[in-house]
Amino acid sequence: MSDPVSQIFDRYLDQPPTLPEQVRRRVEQACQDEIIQLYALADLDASLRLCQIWVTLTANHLAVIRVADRHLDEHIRVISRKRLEKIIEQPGLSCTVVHLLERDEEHPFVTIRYTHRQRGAIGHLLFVLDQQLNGRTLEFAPSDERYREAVLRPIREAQASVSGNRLAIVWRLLGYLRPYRVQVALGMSGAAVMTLARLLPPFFTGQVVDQVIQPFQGGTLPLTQAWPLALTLLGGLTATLIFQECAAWMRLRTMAVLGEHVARDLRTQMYDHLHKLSVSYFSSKQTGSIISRVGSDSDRIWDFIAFGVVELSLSFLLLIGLSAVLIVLDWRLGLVMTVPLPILLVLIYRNGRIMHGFFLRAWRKWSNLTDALSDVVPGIRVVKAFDQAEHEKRRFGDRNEDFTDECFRIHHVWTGFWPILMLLVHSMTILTWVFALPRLLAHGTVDLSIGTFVAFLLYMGMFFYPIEIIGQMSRLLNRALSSAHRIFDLLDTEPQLTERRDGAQLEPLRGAIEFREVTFGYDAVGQIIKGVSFRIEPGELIGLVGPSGSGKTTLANLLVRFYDVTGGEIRIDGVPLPELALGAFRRQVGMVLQDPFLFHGTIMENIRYGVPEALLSDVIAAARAANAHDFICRLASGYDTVVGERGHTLSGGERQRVSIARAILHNPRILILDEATSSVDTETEHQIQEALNRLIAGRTVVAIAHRLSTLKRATRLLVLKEGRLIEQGTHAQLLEIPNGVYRRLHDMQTQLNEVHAI
Amino acid sequence: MPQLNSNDAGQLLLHSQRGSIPVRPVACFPWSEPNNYISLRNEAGAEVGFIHSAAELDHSSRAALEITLRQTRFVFQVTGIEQVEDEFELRTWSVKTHQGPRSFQTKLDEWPRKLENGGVIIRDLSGDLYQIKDPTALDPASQKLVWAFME
Repeated sequence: MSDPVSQIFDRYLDQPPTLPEQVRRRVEQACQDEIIQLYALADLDASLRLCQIWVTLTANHLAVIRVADRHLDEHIRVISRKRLEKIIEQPGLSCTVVHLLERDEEHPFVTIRYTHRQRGAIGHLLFVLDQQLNGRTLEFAPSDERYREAVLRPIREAQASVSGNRLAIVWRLLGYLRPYRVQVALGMSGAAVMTLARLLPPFFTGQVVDQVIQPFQGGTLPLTQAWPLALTLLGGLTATLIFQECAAWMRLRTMAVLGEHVARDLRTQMYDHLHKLSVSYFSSKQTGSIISRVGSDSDRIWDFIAFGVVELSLSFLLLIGLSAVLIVLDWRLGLVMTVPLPILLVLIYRNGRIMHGFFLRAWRKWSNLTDALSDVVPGIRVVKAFDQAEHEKRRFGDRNEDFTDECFRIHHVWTGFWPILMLLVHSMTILTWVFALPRLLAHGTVDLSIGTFVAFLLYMGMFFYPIEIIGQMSRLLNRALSSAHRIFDLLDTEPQLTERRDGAQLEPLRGAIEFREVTFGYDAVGQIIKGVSFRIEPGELIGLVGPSGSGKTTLANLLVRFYDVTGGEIRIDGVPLPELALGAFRRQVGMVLQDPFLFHGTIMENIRYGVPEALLSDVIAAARAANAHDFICRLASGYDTVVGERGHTLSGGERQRVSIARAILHNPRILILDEATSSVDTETEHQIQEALNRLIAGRTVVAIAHRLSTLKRATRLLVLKEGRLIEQGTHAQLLEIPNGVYRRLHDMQTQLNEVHAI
Repeated sequence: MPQLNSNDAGQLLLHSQRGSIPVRPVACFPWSEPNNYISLRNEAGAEVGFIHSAAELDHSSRAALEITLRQTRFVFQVTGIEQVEDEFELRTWSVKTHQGPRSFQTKLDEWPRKLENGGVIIRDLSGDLYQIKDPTALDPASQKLVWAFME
């Protein structure tokens, strides 16, 4: 039970990490010893109370059994999968009800109810049953992973490397210091020396009072001896202070530089890792969150390593050093000073806990406030059009007021706390006086020298700083740890595609493509591509057609191996896609996307993106072929015009042509073309069309086609609907099919075009 | 006025002159008007009937509707809070509900949503909803734990 996944189940979820063994035995016994292939938990009973009902699937049976108080119900319901006729799903706010109806029976075989938490696992099971009803049998090797994966998925998406172990993260972070052992040793010893040196000046002061001033004023030390002694002590003090600041310099410099090293290493490692990750990672995370990990999170780590680690360890060192010195100097006064210390620390810690609640409230109100802002600023036209400025002002005003109230509370609490804490610290001073004065003013043998007393008072002043730092420790640590966690979370994400080291280098590709029974889904529940097979010969121009959501773009993504298929295989020139060297393959595949992305840089750099060493004359030739040369020459800076974010804005048609030029120069063997749906003016349309015609000549082209001209020219059209290939043939052939999907799409398009023409 | 009943399969059936069809009730305002403005959808998801107010139905239709609605608008009813714990990116809530004890996770910046009738709704990572009908009626220990998340 101690594997990491089971631990996460234990920690976060109120359900077993795998199918209980007794359930498995009972089910397999009831299903004629067939092995359970899939299972899921239905966690609500008929009265909608939480419960544990297992739904299991074997090759020929479906069985449902309830576990109550760790005991199996006697009753187990088993149905032959062949008799299943219909699945009725009734989704609700937090409960989904599914009726599985048996053939020839009015009564449902079984009704299961479950919360959204089980939706993934049960959805997988229902998908298999649904496929079966559609005549497709899916078989699975028995495994707990599908169930575990589906249930954990939401948690993993929120926190990839689920690990609450803070110590492990600190160790891992400190591991990044390993290459810089020498610097760490230098910096830390500088810091330690500096801290300990700070303990010396009060000692010298005490010595001057006790050894020089008092004996001299009391007449026991002649001037001739007093001066050398005083000068020696002065020299000692000067040397200590210089030494202390040298050590401080060494520490600050070494650690600040060291922090930068670590932050740089982390940034490089993260950025390199980002490029290894599959496209799916980028679609599942927000761009902002990825950027902030590489940016501000690594900056916080610098802050922590450069200052946090040292400050914290030194504060403890200083407190311990101070206590030791005080107790050695005079144990009674020393105890007066050190005994209340833990009380102070506990107080500071408790205050931190209380403040946490207040900060949470303030944070919540603050996000209310910024939500109002981020709502209204982009929607300002709507606000104005409906004349709702007053309403919005009131809404913002209320939230602003709310937030400010929360801040007042916070200020109320902390402004109350710190003076009280300071009073406590001062009361230690008073206590020292209270205990010291009677001893100083005692008759007879004085057991406390004035020098010691003075040194004590000086040491007092040094107590406050480390206490303050330690008080902030949990905040400092939390900040750094959550940053470190986000960074490691990224670094620990495994790329979903595995590239073979010895992959086949097919250069040049002929460009033959074959899909064999390809199925694919972005997650376990929904399949986007359902058993698609076709062959494309080198040099063919294939048009992918279908209503939106039919899987055209997904098919294109599979072809360039942005994702791996979940079933079946794709072969390029007869070689299965995963066996090709990915780099060499992608170098020979080009994509022209609907909304082409241009990087920040000059037009020339953008055209040369795939072939950085291309000659300028080739760049111009490519631009000419793409009908881009003329408009580029009209720009004041020509090919040196900076485009992309914060650069010169090109129109959609212009960007399209630059991206076609980029593809022409790249000279791919296989070209994927996602035609723009948005209409551009006829002249631009004509120019783009001409450019595309030049681009597709002599290559295998798979075009997600919208333009009639492409559709007519295509060697073949593949018509997709709901992830299946339902029609194929030439434009003319497909129009022949009565009630064909393509024909309907084509008719609608033609009507639309007529409307546009009017 | 729509005539409803439920069949043995637990499905809600809408009767009309053309026969009975299974329908799915969808509350337009599940929080603010749970019993009114209910759209009846057929298996293809198209609207085949509309109920402005459950009160306008006859007794047996209303009972049948109520049974189905009880499932579709089911959310956990929180009766007490055991623990609220913050970790990296996640906040774990351990609560007592009418349905039994449950723990769930939210993101750190996912805040409970205030309802107009004074209750709050918390949505967990998988999308399950947890309602605290009246936060002021919770026991003092629970109130202290959720204080930071309430008004």
